[in-house]
Amino acid sequence: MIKKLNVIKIEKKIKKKQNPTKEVFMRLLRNKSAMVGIVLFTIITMMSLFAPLMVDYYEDCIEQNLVDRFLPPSPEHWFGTDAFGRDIFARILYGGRISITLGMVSTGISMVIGGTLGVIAGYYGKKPDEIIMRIMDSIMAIPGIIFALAIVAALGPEIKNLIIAVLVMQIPSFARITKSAVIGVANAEYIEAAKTYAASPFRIILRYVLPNSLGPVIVHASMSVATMIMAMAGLSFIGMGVQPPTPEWGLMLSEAKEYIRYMPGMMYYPGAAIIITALSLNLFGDGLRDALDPKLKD
Amino acid sequence: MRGFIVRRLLLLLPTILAIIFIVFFVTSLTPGSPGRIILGPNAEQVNVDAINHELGFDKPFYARYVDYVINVFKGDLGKTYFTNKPVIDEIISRFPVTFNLAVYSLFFSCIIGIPLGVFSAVKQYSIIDYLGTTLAILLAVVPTFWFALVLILFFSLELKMLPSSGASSSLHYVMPVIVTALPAIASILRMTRTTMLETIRSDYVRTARAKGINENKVVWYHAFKNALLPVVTIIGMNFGFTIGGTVITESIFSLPGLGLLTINSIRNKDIPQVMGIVLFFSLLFLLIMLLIDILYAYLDPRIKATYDAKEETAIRKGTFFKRSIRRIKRLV
Repeated sequence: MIKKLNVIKIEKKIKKKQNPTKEVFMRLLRNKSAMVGIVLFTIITMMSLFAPLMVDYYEDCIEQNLVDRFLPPSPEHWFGTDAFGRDIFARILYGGRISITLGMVSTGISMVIGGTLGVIAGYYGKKPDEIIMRIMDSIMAIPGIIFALAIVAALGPEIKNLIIAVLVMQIPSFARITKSAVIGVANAEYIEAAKTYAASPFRIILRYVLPNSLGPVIVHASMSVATMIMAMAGLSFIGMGVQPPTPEWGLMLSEAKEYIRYMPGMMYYPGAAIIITALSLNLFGDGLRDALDPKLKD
Repeated sequence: MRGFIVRRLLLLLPTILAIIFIVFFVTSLTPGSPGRIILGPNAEQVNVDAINHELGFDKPFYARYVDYVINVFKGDLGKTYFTNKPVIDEIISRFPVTFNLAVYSLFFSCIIGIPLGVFSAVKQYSIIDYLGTTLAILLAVVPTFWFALVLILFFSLELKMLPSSGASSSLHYVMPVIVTALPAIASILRMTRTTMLETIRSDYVRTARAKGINENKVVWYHAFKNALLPVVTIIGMNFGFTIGGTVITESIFSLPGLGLLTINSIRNKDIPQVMGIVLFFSLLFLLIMLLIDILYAYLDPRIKATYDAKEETAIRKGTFFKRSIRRIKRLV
């Protein structure tokens, strides 16, 4: 009887182990801070996404209305108005659209580029590895924000150049993380099996190497969105990023800096928006890392 | 050990060449020729061409790159477009401000980050741990420029305790140092906590405790010493980030350091100056990482032994320099 029970228990354990994706997902659901991160991020994204339903872009964010400048928070203007009489709440919402989109787009592109380089370096090793990693080390040695500044300066402060500037910063770290993840699975038995039945390297990478090494990359990507948002806000803050009158959080902060004596409240809202977004992404990333590899959790 | 250092120095060479290439390529994308930038949009084309010729801008890209590399190795980074002084002089005259800022803020982040990290690891799941990890998470997401504004608001405008711009006294450095230190505190704290958690569970710490050594000595002598290596790396990497972060801090607090110079020269499209600064910062970072690798050997005899072993095999297989040069040839 006891033996039978044990067998059933073991069988259950084996069955549970069979779907690792589901297991990771369940662990993620049980992680409190990760859930807080997901909920916060969803709220922010949804608010920015449905901003057009609540406020009008041209009327509230762009059009200057000098009669209404520096209004305190009221039911009509939830966060008050800025130096040009524009509604701060509306500008925060639309700023979220820009910041989050830019953060995601630049992370996506740099993940694809850095990931490809990392896979090549990790899977083939030797010469390709040496060349790619040497170049990545060189990029890494250039201080990120200064490199981004140089790129924006050379190409001009446009949004697409801003994306290029920050995504180059993150390529080396994506390449490194992908490379070490790929090396971790490159010697696995299933890869060897795939090699023995003469699967093409392209197929091996796409079907076996990538799915099994994606975890750390996704964790890094979620944190990288936050890094990118902060870097772009920083560049806009010193006037080298998004240009006025576009509502962007960093730019709003630099405008608030001008009027810090008259209306200090102006700088709290964009700052809080950046902090909450970055915090939610970092919490989610941390939780995902714990869920992917419970051994790492201290 | 000496062989290891020499080899690492030689290996810096291709990295430096690659950095120069990247920086040169990026800055060469700037629209307009140097002559046009110097003389302004209304100048005669003849004069513009004359200046371009003088600066060698009429040569093809690779020729200019080779010229620049040769000049860099001679220690000549060119002349600025606007003041017409050597770039390297401008950098050296501005460097002390940035260097002080970086060193002080790194020191500040170490004295806060390391003890907090150690205590949160030793008393895991206690209130200190909870506060420490929360602090680490928060500091990592607070934008430095926003925090700078908050500090200015409270300490300069409300309390009138600290000056908000300039660098004439040591008081001027207080807020910039705190602001620059924030991200470094977060990463040093995290790293210290993680490595301490690992070492504190290791067998030799258990042995030390079993011997009845007092807890303070176990923590700081047995555990911390062994947890120090990754922390040293993180501190070194943070030096790089801190130097980069000074750009924003210096522009907010109007500290006349390299960061402010970077922004001003970017606004003026002073390309040789921008290139010079980026190159200077990158070289500094490379040298610091090299120093840390060497420091590793002195902190951990095991690592020194591997370095020495490698050196010995290298000497056995042929002269060390020949191998290094062959290796560089293969890379370039």
